[in-house]
Formats: sequence, C-alpha cells, structure tokens
Amino acid sequence: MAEIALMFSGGIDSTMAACLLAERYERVHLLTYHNGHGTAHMGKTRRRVDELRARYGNERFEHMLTSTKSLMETVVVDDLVETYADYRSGFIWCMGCKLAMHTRSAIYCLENGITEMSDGSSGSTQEMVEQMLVSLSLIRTFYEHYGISFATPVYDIPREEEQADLRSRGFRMGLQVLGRNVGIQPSCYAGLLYYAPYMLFHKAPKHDEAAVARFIEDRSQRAHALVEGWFAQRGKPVPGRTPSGDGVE
Amino acid sequence: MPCCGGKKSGKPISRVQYIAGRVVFTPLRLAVSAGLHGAGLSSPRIRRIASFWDQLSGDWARSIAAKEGILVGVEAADVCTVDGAPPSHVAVGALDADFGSDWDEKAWVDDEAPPDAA
Repeated sequence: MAEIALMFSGGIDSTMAACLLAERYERVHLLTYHNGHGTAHMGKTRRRVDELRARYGNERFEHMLTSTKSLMETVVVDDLVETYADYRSGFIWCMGCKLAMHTRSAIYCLENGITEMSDGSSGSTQEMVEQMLVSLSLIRTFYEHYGISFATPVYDIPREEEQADLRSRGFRMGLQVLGRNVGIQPSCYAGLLYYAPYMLFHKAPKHDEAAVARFIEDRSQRAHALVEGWFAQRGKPVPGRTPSGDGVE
Repeated sequence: MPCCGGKKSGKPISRVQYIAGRVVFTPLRLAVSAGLHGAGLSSPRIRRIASFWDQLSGDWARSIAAKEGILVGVEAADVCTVDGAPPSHVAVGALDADFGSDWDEKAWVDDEAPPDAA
C-alpha cells in the first residue's frame, strides 16, 4: 500500500499538501507536534483532520499528535546561550525546533516502515528559516541517511492559488488578515516573537544561508544520535540500517 | 541570495509605523523577559531561555534604535505637499511650465517660496 507521512499543522500549506497527497497515496500519516515551549491551540489541528477525513474517508488519514520537547531540548535548548553567542541570531530556536520535528518524523517513518516523508514548506513563506531552500536541501539529506525520501509538494504553488483551491473544496479558511489565514492552526508564540521585527519594521530576519547550513549540519549529528538512542532504548537497531549503524542495508 | 528576506523585507515604513512598532516592541520585549525570568525561578532550563531572550531582544532593540535594515520615512518623503518641498528627484518640467521660464528649481528644492507667477 502506498503510504507517505506529512508534517501537519492544519494551516493552508499543510492542508493543501494533505489534499494532494490523499489523491496520490492510499494512506497519509499526518504528524503534528508541540514543542512544549510556547505552542498552543493544538485542537485546531484535530478539527482540520476531521475535515480531511470527512472529505476523503477515515481510513485515508492516520494522525499522530505528540511532543518534541525533549528532542528540541537536546538539539538546541540545552546550550542555547552558547549557541546564540556563536550565531547571534534567533533562527537557532526555530530551526532547532524544526529539526527536532524532523527527528521525530524520521523515527515515526522508521517505526512504521514508511519511506516517503513530506511537509508543507512553501515558497510563499520563504522568509521562514526552515523553508529556505538550503534548509530543505539539508533536511532531505538528513532523511536520506535512513533511506527516506523527502518532498515538499506545495512549494511552488502560490498562496492565493492554495487559498482558492481549499475554499472551493469547502475547508474552513479562518479569518484572512494581510493575506494570512488566522485561527486555523496552532499558535507558536516563540515563532511570532522571532518574526516580530520583520512584521513590525519589515526588517529582514537574520539567517544567512551559510550560518543556517552550518547550524543544520552541526545539529543533524545530534539528531542522528537521538534517532540511534531512541531505538537503542528499546533494544532495537535502527530499522533499515546495519547494527553498527554504518550504512543503509 | 545570502539572506532569504521575505516579501516585505527591506520595504520602507513610515515614521508613524516605526514609532508604533517601537511602542509595541519595547513593552513586548520586557513583558516576555519578565515572564521568562519569573518562570525561570523554578527551572534552570527556562532561566537559560530567559538569558537567550534577553540577549536576542537586546540585540534587536539596539539595531531597531539604530534603524539597521529598516527604511523609515521613504514613503513620507515621496509625498509632495502644498507647503513642503518636493523631493529632489521630482521632475520639474511640468512645474517650469506652470511658473514660467524664470522658475528657479533650486529655490523650490531648498523650500523657499516659489517665484511669484504674477
């Protein structure tokens, strides 16, 4: 059976991605995370899952809502001040959070034998550090380590086109404010704070490609160690890899 | 592209927007700091986050005060008011015709009274 996992918040991009994937795959695993550091209103995602199931059928979607708090703490929070002294930018928080989510997603895929992973990254929100092309490229490399492919099915679809498409499919669109749809997905207060200078002053977020690439490459090592540790704690080797962990079988 | 930016990055804001932004940003920054330090009393991890926030938002506050990467007042300067001087890049050909051939462009740019057309 063709299956794929999708990082899912219930916002415009991930809902559009879920629709497109539901038309191509027999089963879509929707993965929703809260990081335990300023995320709220997770129930909004559940409502969106209900909408998707009503439209495409219950059996089409599997939904997991779980915490990435401890993973995020290892990836970035435990040495946050030292890391900030190195990078001098708040992107380390958002990227560290996202990397923790990808770590948990890789674990989910490995545990469930899923070889295709995706998210709702969009070129319309390229100001977000985790949706820069360099970030997506390195995330793809991270998954390849486990024999998992990574795709961004809605990256090239303009936001307006997504909004019109979802509206025509009958999805709740929330309140539209300055081109954004408010009230349809969980809130991330830390993320809002990071982009406050951009929203208030049109000040470009400080995350240049070289620094972002250095950060992801460095923290991917921690993420890999977390994946190994996850399976080691359960007395299992990482699925699809040799017990020594030196390559995909 | 060295920095990804976003659609609004580097676009000018008016002085009113800049002041309003600071009115929002400063209390927000201090409130978050106070909240984190309060919560940090019982958690070393949150104390670490509070310290991170203080450094990050302090760097932001300094760069916002210095207007680094912020274009302020450009839109306002593009608006030509009756009593004010037009910006120097405004074409003056049409004005020349209105005020006659002895119109002194420099006088207008320097915000002096235009020559009397009569």
